[in-house]
Amino acid sequence: MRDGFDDFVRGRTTGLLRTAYLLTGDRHAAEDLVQEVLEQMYVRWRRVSGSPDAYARRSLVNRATNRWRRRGRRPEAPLGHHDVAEPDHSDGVVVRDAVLEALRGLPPRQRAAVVLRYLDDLPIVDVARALDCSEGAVKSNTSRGLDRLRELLGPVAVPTEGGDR
Amino acid sequence: MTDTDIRDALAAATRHITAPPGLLDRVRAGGRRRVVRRRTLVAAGLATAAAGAGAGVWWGPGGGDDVAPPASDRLDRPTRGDLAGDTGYLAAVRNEWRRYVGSGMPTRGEPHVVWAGRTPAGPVALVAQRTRPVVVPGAGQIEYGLTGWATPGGDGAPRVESMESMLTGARNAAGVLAGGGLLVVLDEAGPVGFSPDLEYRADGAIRRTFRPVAFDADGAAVLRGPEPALRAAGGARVDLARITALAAGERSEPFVRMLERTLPGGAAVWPAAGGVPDGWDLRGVPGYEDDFGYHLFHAGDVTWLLRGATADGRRFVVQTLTVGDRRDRLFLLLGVPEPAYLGTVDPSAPLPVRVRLPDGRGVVVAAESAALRYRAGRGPWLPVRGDAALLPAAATEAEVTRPGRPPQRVPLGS
Repeated sequence: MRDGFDDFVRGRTTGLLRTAYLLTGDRHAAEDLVQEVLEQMYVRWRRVSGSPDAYARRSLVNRATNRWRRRGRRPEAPLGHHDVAEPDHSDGVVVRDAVLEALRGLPPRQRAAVVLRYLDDLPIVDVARALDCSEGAVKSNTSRGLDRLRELLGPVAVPTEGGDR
Repeated sequence: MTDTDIRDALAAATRHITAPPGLLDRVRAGGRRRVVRRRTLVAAGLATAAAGAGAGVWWGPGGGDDVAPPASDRLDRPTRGDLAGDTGYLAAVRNEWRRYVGSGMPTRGEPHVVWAGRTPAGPVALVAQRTRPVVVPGAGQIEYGLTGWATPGGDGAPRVESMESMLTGARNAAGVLAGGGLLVVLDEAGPVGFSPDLEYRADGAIRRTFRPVAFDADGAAVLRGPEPALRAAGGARVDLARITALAAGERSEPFVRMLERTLPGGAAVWPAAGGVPDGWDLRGVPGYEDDFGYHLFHAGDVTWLLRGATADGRRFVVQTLTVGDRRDRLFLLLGVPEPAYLGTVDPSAPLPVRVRLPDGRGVVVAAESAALRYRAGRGPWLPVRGDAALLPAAATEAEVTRPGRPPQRVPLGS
């Protein structure tokens, strides 16, 4: 009845979590969000199994955006309280904090557009589908979001997998 | 910054994020809860509709009568099973179902006994009843009925095990765990395999052998095994009424608690937020949990996840896993996330966790809520903080004092 669901969860959870993390700025919220989306997909698997990635992304973005609206009335909890770094990744922690802080400063749809384009490497047409907007709106949101990120992240050196750049 | 730099920054900011152990299980359980949809939600829908609120749950104009209920094998077929002609039993099942459903539910018509048959545990029946169709905008589901299994109660009379909503496109529990390892399953789930028992491999992982289930002419099979499991085609789980009732919170039977402790010295090498990285918690490693079995646990069943560090800075995890059979598997992961299986332990023993690390790195001990002391040879007893610890390698004996019980001494080997 739910053929392929387990494989989808095993294969895609980490990717969805990373997207959700950047959309929410909070690891625990990201896990809750992804679990919520996957549970919904479990119920509707027969209908969504044709394009589970697209369904998951759209659902994730919608929920993250709504969540952001709900939390807008009170300040975000400091990340340090939720997400304590392992001591051997200090460069990574600097980048992470800077990226999250920068994303937090973007309006939700700009944030989503940038994350889907540059973390998930989605083509514009797929981002438009996930955000339920025109391709022009994606280009505009992405462009504005990138300008702002460049401003904020300019001084940050990004370590690569093999070491610092 | 170039576009590539932005990509690198976003990737670097999320590199540490990986799927938490056990997420798939939680998703499955949560998904089943959503499918099951407890009656409180139906009641909430009733209240919402009565209040005229637009959000949440609604029925179409005319009380939902304009929403055509989908055809259903459970609702539309004659009663099956060798008790299909036993009018007295069928009436008793319907009465028990009405009692269980209670008043205030949007049921329509009479409850229908889908299947009724004799089993070694007594008569068992599956019931279904139409309800007013419900549309949930967010989920897009149409709910059209309630269904549940009845098994013999203590007095032999039928007792409803659980009640589930029937949702368009969703399948309900195809069987019931009737107690004593007895399983009744209908052919609704398609071809299924049955495994009566499990065995532990030499590495502590679980091995099961499934054989095809032969259904009788009425589409039912009665199966028995000490640790029964069903697997549907494609490796899917088969939901059972008793298990879904537990997942939905209709039942409050014992569950397994995982006791997580960071041993002194471990805080420097493990994430302060708790948990362990991928591969260090065997619950998230394929093969170590029983993916297809149905287990009912005992009160007080616990597993341990002890995170620590040796004096030379190597991190380790000592973990137990259980399926409720009183043969908890004990594992050590030292330095790297590669489990060494240390055999089974009795969880009711005074000191259920007792692991001597190799090369004189110490002894890991744990006993829930116990006061612990240890000594080396005939030396003085030394206290331990907490109910889990990494003792020096020289320790030869532990003293365990559980609340309300006299102290018990346990040799630690050498």
